This record gives sequence, C-alpha cells and structure tokens, in this order.
Amino acid sequence: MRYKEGSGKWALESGMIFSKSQDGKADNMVGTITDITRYHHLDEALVRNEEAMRTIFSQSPDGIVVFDHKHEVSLVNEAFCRMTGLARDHLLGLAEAQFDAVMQQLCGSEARYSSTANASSMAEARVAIHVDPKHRRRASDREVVVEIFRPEQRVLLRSLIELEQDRLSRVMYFRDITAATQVERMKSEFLSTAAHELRTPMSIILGYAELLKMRTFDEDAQIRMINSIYDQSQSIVKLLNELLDLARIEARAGKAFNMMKLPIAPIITQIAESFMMPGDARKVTLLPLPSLPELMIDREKIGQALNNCLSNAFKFSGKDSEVSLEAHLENSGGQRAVSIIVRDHGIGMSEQELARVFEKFYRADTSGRTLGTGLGMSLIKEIIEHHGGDVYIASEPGKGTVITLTLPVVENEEMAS
Amino acid sequence: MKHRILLVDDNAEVRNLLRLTLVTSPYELREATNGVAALEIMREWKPNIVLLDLMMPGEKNGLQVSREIRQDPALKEVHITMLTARGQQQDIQEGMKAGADAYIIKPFSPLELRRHIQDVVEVINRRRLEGA
Repeated sequence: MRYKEGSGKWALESGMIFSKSQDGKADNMVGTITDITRYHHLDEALVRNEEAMRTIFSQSPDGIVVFDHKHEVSLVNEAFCRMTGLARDHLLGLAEAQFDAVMQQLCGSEARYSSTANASSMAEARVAIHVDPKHRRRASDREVVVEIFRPEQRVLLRSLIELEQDRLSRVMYFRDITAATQVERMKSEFLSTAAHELRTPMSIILGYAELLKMRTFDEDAQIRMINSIYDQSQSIVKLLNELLDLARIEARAGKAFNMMKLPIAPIITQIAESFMMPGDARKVTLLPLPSLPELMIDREKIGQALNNCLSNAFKFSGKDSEVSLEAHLENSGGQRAVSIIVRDHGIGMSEQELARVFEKFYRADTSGRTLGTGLGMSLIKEIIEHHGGDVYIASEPGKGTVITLTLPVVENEEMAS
Repeated sequence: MKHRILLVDDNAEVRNLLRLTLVTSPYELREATNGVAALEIMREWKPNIVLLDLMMPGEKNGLQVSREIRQDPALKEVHITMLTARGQQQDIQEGMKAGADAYIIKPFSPLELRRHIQDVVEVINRRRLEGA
C-alpha cells in the first residue's frame, strides 16, 4: 500500500465472503488488512544480518567448525580448510568422533589431539559453576594447543563456544599461533645459547683465577693462565659488544644508522689499509678498484661489516695465506649495485656449516682454538640488509671462502640530469 | 689403588683447568676431547669417575655418551658427573635421565669441584667396603 505522499507500508490482506446474492455476487464480506511493515523490516534485517555473519564467517582468519544438535559438522569456513588442507565437502556431516579421527591424522597420533567430546564434557562441568551473563558459555579456559604436522607444521589454539539457547550445537575455533610460538621458541633458544657462550669463558676465568689464588705455579704455567684469563675476558667483552650492537640494530630497525651519500672506494681502501699496518702479519691484497658511484651508506657500519669479513678471512686461513679484496659495479635489470668481494684460501666450510653460518652464536670450530662469538656474520648480514643489500657466501672445505656484499646504488634523478 | 678420573671436554682450556684443579690430589687423570674418544678410553682404561661435558660437537655429545655408559655392562658402575653450561632445570633433568649421577654448572669453582670429587671418592670407597 502506498500513501498519497509517497511513503508505503507492507500489508497482508485477507477476506471472506459471508453471503452471496442470487446472481452470485458477493453481498456481505469481511476482510482484514494487517500492517506487517514491522515484520517485513525485521525479515530484511535478518537477511542482512545473516549475510554479514556469513561474510565474517568466511573471511575470518580463524578456522571455525560448527557442530549441529546431532553432533555433526554443519559448517566449516575457508580458514579452517586452508589451515588443515581439508576439503569442506569431506568435513560436512562428519560425526564428532570422525572429525577427531581426521584431526588426529593431521597431528600424527591419537594422543596429540584431545577429542571434541572430551572438550565439551569438561566445559559442561565448568558451566555449572559459572554462567556467563550474556547467555553464552565460553570455555576459554579450556583452550587447547593443537600441533598439526600436515599439510605443514602449524600450532593451533583450539577453543570451544557453546550457545545457551541451543545446548547441543557447538562452535569450535582454531587460531593459528604458529608464528608467535616460533618467535617464543627462537627467543628462548637465543637466550640459552647466549648464556652458554658466557658461561664457558667465565668458567675459565673463574677457575684460573681461583687456582692462582690457591697455590703457586711455576712461571710458565702462571703466564699461560694469566694470558688465558685475559683472552677469555676479551672474548666476553667482545661478545657483549656484539650482542648490544645486534640488539641496537634490531630494536631500532635501522634508525640508528647514519646514512649519507658517500663515495665507497675510499672506505674500502681505508679498511684494507688498516690491515696493512706495520707489525700486523695479515696482508690484504687490494685489487685495483674501478670507478665506483657514491652510495647511500653509514660509513662506520659498512666499515665494521667489511672489517668483520676480513677478520673472519684471516681467522680461518693459514699465516701466510692470501686474502684479497675487490669491488665491482654490477648492473642487473637496470638496478646498479656495488659488490665487494673478500676471498680467502683458508679452511673453508662444509655445506652443513655454510647452511648455519648466519645463525647467531653458530661456530663451526668449537674447540676454543679460534676466538670468536659466533655473532660476526649475523652482524654483517644485519648491516648489509639495512642498506638494502645482500650477503652471499660460497665456500669449499680446504679451498677457501668467498664473501660477497652487495650494496644497491640509489639512482638519483637530479644527479642523473 | 689410585682412583682414575677421565676428563672429557672439547675445550682445551677447560680440560687444562680440570687437570690443574685435580692434579695435586692422588688421582690418575686422562683426557678426551670428544664423545667417541671418551668411550674408547673408558673401555680400555676403566676409570672410576668421568667428568663429562654435556655440549660437545661431533658424533656423540655428553648425553649420548652417558646413555652408552649405562648400557655397557663393563662400564655401568662408573660415576658420571656432568659439566654443563646450561643451567636450566630441563637440561639437568635430561642429563639425569641419560644416566648422570651428578652435575656441575659452569662456571664452577675449582675448590668446589675438588670437594665434589672427594665426596664421590668417599662414596665409591664405602660402596667397595660394603661390597667386600
């Protein structure tokens, strides 16, 4: 029904004829017109609401599985299929026990997935004590961590929600917490390795110092112990400095860098020369440098990275072994970059060692013969990556190692014109 | 008879420290730089005590060596003290499960280590008397 001024209402009409005249025309009629505008709006709202819910359901990054009153899977969203690699058609209609069996397969064993039925019975027990005022029972303290191994390793946090009005149906949420758990794991591994790296030099310092206090040794032994204490103290100081450097770079995400447009060649020359001081047995062969453009760099940090590369090269090669330093300008697909190459003919690394070279605290030689912290390569990598460059390492056991640092040339339009 | 102690650590300085700590006491000492060598020496030399570093590179770390000792009927009486730079409860439990009798956390005091060895020797002697 539409009013004159244009507004309208939804109406439901029904009529009934009481009596008819002889020619069959209706004589008496009764009819009703019910205004159902309100219901109609409610209906529309419901449809809209359902659409919104469906969008949320399908777009949710959390996996959602709904069990109906028959304890069968009635709804599964995209995120859940993506997480588990399972097809929706395969899941719909599965009974709780069957669903559990599918999940147990992903977890690799029965024991690793606690059954859906169990989760619910626990929630039931808990509900007797605590009823949520919002007519909704959230078994949040019944969250279970589920680790699946197929299609790939993931850590999921499973929680269960039951609706008060509809006691039998249940909604199961799976939140992917893989990334968060990995970070946690790495952090604790890092801390425990850092502690380990400090404890070993500490035991030598403490041990020798205490022995020297306790009794007298001949002069040679004394000198050896004192030298050792000195070396180990230095390695602790170095470890602390490198740790702080790394932490600073990581925490400030490069904000501590003092970037300036500078010619790179003098920096390379200067670092090479610093290794050629009189008295220093280490000799760097600096190959003639081509003409190189200016780069956007932090002079000190690049110097530190280069210095670390050269120190490493010397550390792992023989006394008179040659270490060479060279630089080129390269052009790949219009992006120009300067690559700086440090080449040694030392002990080299095996493939396994090479694979772990950027791991913090990783040291291929753990005998204590070469001093170091295992942080040098991590630092080089952090520094070069903050300059937008890359670090490449090639190595062969017994033959030597080649480290290439690339630094992109920031093309400046003003400069070009 | 002098008690025999095998010192196992991949770090030469730590081995030197252990030797200097114990050399003035009436013990016979030998050293091994890795797990495989340690087991080899033990089978031939039959030490009473082994000071075993937990984290060693190479084929066998301290845990693996410890397990092998406990499985070998000729060696299983050996007292194992683990030297570990990992002082976390979990690491210690793992070491005990692998068969260690005691553990010492790095950094350790030489004086304490010497006292610890004296205690162990006393236990071994008492056990011997009771057995005889």
